[in-house]
Amino acid sequence: MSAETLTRPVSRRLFLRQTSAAGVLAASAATGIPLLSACGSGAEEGGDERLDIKLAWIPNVEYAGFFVAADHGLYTESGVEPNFLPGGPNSSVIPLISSNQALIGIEAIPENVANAIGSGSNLKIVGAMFQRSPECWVSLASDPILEPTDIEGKRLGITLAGKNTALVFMRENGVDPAKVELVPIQFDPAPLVAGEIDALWGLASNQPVSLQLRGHETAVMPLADFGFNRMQNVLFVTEETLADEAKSGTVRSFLKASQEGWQAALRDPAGAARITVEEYGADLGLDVDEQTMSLEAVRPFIERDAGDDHPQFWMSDELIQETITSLDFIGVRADESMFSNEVLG
Amino acid sequence: MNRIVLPLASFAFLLSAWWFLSTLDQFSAVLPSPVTVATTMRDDLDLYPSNAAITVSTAAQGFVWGNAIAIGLVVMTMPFRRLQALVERVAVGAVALPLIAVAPVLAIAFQGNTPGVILAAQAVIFPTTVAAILGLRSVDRASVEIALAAGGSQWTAIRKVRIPAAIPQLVAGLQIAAPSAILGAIIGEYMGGTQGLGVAMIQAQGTFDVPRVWGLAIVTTVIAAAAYAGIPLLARLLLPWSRVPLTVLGARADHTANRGWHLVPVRLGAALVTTAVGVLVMWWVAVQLIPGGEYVARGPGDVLPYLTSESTQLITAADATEGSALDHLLSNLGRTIFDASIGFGIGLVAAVLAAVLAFQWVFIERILMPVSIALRSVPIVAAMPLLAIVFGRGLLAITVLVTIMTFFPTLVNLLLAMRSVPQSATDVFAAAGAGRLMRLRKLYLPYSLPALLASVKIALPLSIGAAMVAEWLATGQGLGAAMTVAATVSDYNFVWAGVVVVLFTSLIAYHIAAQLEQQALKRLS
Repeated sequence: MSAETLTRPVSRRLFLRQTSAAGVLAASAATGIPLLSACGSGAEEGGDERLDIKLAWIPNVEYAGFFVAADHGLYTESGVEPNFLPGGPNSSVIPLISSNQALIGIEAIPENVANAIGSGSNLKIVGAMFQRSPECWVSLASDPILEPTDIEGKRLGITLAGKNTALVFMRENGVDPAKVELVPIQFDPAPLVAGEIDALWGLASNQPVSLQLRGHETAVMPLADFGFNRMQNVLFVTEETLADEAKSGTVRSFLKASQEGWQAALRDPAGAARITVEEYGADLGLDVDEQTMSLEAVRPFIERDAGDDHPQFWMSDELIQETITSLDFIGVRADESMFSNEVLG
Repeated sequence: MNRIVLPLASFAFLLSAWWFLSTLDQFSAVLPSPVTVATTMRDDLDLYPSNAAITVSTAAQGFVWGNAIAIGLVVMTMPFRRLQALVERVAVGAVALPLIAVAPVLAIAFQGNTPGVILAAQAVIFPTTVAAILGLRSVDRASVEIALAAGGSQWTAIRKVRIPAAIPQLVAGLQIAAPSAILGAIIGEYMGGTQGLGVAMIQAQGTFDVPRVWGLAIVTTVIAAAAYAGIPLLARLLLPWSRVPLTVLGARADHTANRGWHLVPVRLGAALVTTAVGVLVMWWVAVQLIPGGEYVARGPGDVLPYLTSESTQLITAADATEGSALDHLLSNLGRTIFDASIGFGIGLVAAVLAAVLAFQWVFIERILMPVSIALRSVPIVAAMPLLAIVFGRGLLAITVLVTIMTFFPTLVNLLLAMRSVPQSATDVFAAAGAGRLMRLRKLYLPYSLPALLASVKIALPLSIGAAMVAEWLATGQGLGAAMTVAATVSDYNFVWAGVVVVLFTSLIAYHIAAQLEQQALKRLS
């Protein structure tokens, strides 16, 4: 290239063009550099104490107990430093745990974990945040759906991921699926209010709360009342983690501190909501009153029955059996070996 | 005068249309009135800067990386046509990769905002690659020949003739890429983020705070529009002479179209085989290279036996659809191809009509551009509730979504091409007393044919991608839906089989478009 510039004179204009083009590229390269430095994972920094927890959803009051535990210094006391990786609508949790990118995963529905185990992943469910399933059909109070058969001739909104479950649930409850129009929706309740669907497959702890806040009264039909109860928001790890003494010790310490965090959160929901909003949600426009309401809505699914002395997250034999039956009900194979309370002290 | 009045008038029109629609019963739940949104935006004012900063930073990094990679590869492979064709195909492959397959891989391999940067870069690479190739090749052939005859090498011609001449097309490519980069960054946030416009949007949607969702969508659009408007200004500032129009009347595009029509089937057959082999090889290599790939990636060795086996987890629950995994895959692929073709055809016609109208009447451009930038940069997941209520969940919804995704690049490319018709040619037509239609038919449309064909090439893979998004979010049928279901039941064999057939289909569609382009350009030159 230099030979050419010698043989023929370069016009000023061409010279300027080339140099400024080079300038743009150089500037681009300069602004691009941060990416590479951000790529490295901190695998070495934390050593054995490195504790990443992959959440199923964005940080909000659904995980308040963990945030309270962090805020009250309970994790530091137990010698662990958890780092919460946020989830989202397109987020996948299981691959992160299988590949040891995160130690503990939280999946909203146990059938995802059971399916992964069925296709060869060495995972184990080590605790359940929700002792009862908050899944329900949410309809508007003006046109309530209170029995599965009420849905015949109507439209049910459901995520694609839940379609198979919906078909089986309806069939088992004597609903003719041919008489129901299944509408693929996302997590947002707008189609119900807009009248596009008559009921949506939702969570009692979620859509009814936000709809009520915006002035829409709802009717709720819990699936648990119709043969479909199971644990939800399950905590799971790999079998290697359980076999490794140091790692399982870390998980145990984390869960112990988290149990206390959840107890504190349920004692003082407003305080827990404030911590969640201040530490994790201020920039997202989370509102303390709304988050307090959401936490109150979650409470009945987290709290244990009176007289049940087991620690938080503990999966009773009945709950495990009920979960297995429910999964079997929707064609997902599960057995006792997928669950273990061994890290719950 | 018109420069101020017209945009204001169109803005006022849009605002009143919005206001009117928000008073209708069927829309009121998802479409709050402009006043409500404005009030919410005022209250939310401190919500925007920190979140926008994060999203913009992710998008900007992806934009810079994606463009640097695309432009760098295209310039370096300029003298080597076959190598360049390979680069082009890899870019098509990059844009055709369905998110549902990319997301878990990115989640394993990277943390923080890196997946968002990669998604933004992925969205940028394809339009920029096509724009760079189009720009670098659409130079006046005579100028290149002069540079070569004067003893310059191919590189001299690239540096002194091709790159300077390609600047306008490149700027248009970067303009097209800018909203895509923002969309990519937001999708990255949908995969998991603590902060950013996408995360704030999920939060607002989850709590059914519809006015806030709209406020965030408006902020996103303003940012995308600012990037769109800012890129030519920046280019003008840095390269003040780049607007010098092509000098020679009817500059002949420098395209090589060897051989004739009758060989097209032969070449397509060869392309079919080489593409299949290429995809298989790339597939195998990718599975080996992906960090942590063994957990989500499935190579040909896993998927091919799976496809021929009789059982698949997917069909166990729904009793109606019995059959092998292969049947399931192919019937869904057929559905997706059908969905994409309808959307592609209608979207293309709409974009060409819009471009012609916008070229004739600037005020149409001033109305269309903000709308199409907005539609291109708002994540469809957020816009879907409204779109579904307006357009239903059938073929119409798919067509609208595909049009949204393909309309904007086609419009920008065509407008640029019609605007860069040399003044001398316009003068000749004016002197001959040619009317508006005549000029359009005989001058502007033929002149912009390369840009149109390039737009077809861009729109084809985008259509398939958009149809799959529509199937996932709106209709629940076709490959987009089937792969989503497969991913939730950890059936990665089906997911990867889907990725591979989509990739193959997109590449073949692209190849057909490229053949058409070559033949048409050959006839013109």
